[in-house]
Amino acid sequence: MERQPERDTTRRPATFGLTVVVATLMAGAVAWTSPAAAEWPDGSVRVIVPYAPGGTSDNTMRAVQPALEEILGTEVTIENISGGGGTIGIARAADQRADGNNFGFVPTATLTIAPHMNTVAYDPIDGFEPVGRMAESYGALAVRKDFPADTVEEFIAYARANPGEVTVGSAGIGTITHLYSEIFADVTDVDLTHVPFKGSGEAMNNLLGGHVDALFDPVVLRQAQADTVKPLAILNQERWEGLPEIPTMQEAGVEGFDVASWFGIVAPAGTPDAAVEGMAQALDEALQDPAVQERFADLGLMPVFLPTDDFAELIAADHENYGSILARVGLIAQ
Amino acid sequence: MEHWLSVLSLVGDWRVLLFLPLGVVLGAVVGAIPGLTVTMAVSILLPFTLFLDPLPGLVLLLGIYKGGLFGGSISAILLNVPGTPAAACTMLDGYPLARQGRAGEAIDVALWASFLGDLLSVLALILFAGVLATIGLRFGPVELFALILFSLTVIAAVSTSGLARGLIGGILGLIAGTVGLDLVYGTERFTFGSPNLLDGIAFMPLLIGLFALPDIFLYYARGGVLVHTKPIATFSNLRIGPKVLRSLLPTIGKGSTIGIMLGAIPGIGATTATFVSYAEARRTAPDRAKFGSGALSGVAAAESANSGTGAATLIPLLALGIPGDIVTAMLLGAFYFHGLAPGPLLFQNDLDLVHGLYLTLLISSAIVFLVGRYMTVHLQRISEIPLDLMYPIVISLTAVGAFALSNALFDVYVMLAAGVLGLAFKLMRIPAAAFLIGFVLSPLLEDNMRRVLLISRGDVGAFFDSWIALGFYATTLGVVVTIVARALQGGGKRGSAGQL
Amino acid sequence: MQRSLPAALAIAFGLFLLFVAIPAGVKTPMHVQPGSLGPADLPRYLAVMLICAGAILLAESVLGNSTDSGQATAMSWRRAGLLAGKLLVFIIALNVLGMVPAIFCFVLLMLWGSPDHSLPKRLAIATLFAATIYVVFVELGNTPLPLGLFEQR
Repeated sequence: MERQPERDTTRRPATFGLTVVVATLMAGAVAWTSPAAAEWPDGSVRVIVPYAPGGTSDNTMRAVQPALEEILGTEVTIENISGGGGTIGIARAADQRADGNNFGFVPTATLTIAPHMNTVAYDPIDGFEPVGRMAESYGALAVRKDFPADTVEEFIAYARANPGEVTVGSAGIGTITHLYSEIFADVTDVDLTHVPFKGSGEAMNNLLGGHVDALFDPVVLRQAQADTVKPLAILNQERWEGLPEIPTMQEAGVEGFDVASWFGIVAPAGTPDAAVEGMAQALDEALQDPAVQERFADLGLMPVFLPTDDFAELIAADHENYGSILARVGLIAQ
Repeated sequence: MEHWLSVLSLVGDWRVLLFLPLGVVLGAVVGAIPGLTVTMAVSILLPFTLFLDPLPGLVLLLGIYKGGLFGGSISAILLNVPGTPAAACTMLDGYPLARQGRAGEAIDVALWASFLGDLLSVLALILFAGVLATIGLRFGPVELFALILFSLTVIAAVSTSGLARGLIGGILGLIAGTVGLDLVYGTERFTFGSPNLLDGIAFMPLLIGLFALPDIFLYYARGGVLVHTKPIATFSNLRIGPKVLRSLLPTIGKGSTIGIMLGAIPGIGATTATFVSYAEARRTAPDRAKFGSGALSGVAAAESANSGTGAATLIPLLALGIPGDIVTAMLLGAFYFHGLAPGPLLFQNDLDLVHGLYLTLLISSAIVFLVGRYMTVHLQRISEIPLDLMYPIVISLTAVGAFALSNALFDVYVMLAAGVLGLAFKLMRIPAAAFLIGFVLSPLLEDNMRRVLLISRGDVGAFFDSWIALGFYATTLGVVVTIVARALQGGGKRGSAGQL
Repeated sequence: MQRSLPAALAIAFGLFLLFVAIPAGVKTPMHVQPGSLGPADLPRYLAVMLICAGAILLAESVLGNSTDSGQATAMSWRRAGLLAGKLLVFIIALNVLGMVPAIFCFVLLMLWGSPDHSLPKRLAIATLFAATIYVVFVELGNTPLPLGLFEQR
């Protein structure tokens, strides 16, 4: 500040000193009451979705968004940051201020698969506070219509008789759809040839055209309903209402096929507990909203809430589990 | 027919009639701003459309998309900044035309080509969606590989300063396309640890930097003097006459067909389609000698293919539920959000909605046409803005656009670096379009090549296992032979006739 | 000269790719499936093709085919350097100040030498433009722009 000697000579030092003291006290008081975690949420909440708008992740988040807004009483904005198979957006989410207003939307792959395969700019376990899981995705194993097998047992038998000849598509290397096939091959001891595509859409297209034999993916569900592909088994623990006669993997006799594609919310590490708990609770409530449930059903999702601690355990368990599978297949980053 | 009455009533909904033109205008405005792309416009506006009912919401989105395509062409022709990847092809001849004071003609051709292209593709949609979808399915890795190989010959078509230079540009583009994660093994290639390169070099910043910035840089490097100093805005040539239009019809027809065919094959995309159409026009159009320096056929070929692709990418979307590119992927999401399931079931259960959509597409195309024609007079004024004012604005806008697409400053650097590269190309007369084609086709080529080898487990014979593929190989061979023959021939006598 | 420069550069770059960039930049996986392409294969083939294309161009220039209508795109290196400097300032400003202030500085800087606009007019243009960008993108478009060092982390 510029000195203005002319003016200052008229002031008396004492008054000046008093003003300074009062000002400091007031500033201190303001800083003191400045909300650290007074009441959550104290403003609009931001969720980073690490995929482009219109994708499954984005749709899932948008399905709960209105309900969340109503429950929390504040704006919930979705920010799409796509790239790197979700890793770029999630890295950004980890970097945000841990003030309780920033969250990230995570599908399975970003936290449990991608970090093993490449160096990512975030720590999947310690970089985040898990908040809660909101959904599990239904999926199925489907084969092209003229494939010589109508059940899982026949599929396995055929694959055993023709090692390496059965081709399985996927949405890309390191995606959950890829891992489905690796785990299946592992527990059933068959030799499948994995053919990666860029996205589920392309994989589905190639299955429909008969260029690959099989596909493990949520996207086959609708096509199976339209009878353009042959569904063999549901990949979840329970059957799907849309295809009630199709058995689950377990029912079909495949032991140890325990992999699920889930979606959840996390917050940057260091986010105050009040925010984490508040969000988890809001999520739980939102999932009970019938409108949300209807949307989820349309998207082929099971609205299964998993609270904070269980979710954290799930992430850690999946991270380790998939890590060892990837190591076995030789896809671990060097 | 009762069905069509129902369709008409859907379309006659006031919200549809309101949102369609609104969408078109919004899209056109956003697309015309240099640096802003259709993808951005759609991705920003998509969330707003989700709150509307299915048909108005989707109609708004479609309107934005169509308007955006048009806006991108405007930006390409007037400002040398492509608003969409497909507009890069329009730019090759559109901007030189603008420089010659014929911007009005170029825009008019673009409008006609777009409109007629749309007309043809919507007709194809209505009549042949099923057939086209089936044909699209027949294209597996082998067929796609053959198709992409054929598309590479387009490099020759854009090699206006000699085949060798074009090859260098194309190969550099192919190499640049390998940056990123490996498809099969997931290892990083040329990323040098940067997470921003995991998906490869960002396409739009690269495109804009490569095509738009070099001229701007040169302008400043020369102290503010344009190379071709013909004043741009002479309002005399606002429209093309009916005779000219008639002469362009074959090009438009072929371009649309190419766009429709390639658009129906998921994964190919509008960029490839426009360049293939351009290459084909280069072979056969009456004014082919002027390609690269202002040929109306070039603009017509590019725009009609672009439109053809635009509607055709909806085919795999609607008929199979499979998106063909990122914008249709967003549309798919919007469909799901509204509780509609594209795919065979959609055609069974909601056919009136489907036809309502087709109709709105057509109407939106007409709206674009009318709006465009009316606006051309005013749009030309844009080229009147003094360049030393315009250029900093363009650079800033493109920087913002580059950033906004992926929220990464890195992409701004990509754009600027691409600008420097483009400048180097210009100085060495290497065609930037060749680089672009190589870049776009590189992942498609390699991915499909590897998939074929994976499926056949190393058996190279698999490449010849398909009639479609063999057909493309034969055509490619024929084209290559012609190119090489002409190159060797033209070596003796360089002149306008010897140009490739 | 017109042709030998790009030719030489192409050959040089191709060699650079083969022997430096590919070994350094392409990580090879633990095992490559036999018969398929490894990650480094296509880049290698392309590098070789680049060298060949460069050689063809070189051969053309040596064999002295009649020149391409070479209107030399002459440019003043001094001015180019000046432009590069301004762009560098822009980049630095982007990182330090954030996008909107950087645009303001950049537009101002670029209009510096312009004879038709007076200083107040230049300031007005720069301010108006930067403000418009802010309003359109941040407020209306809901796309956050970088804030440089003021970024809240």
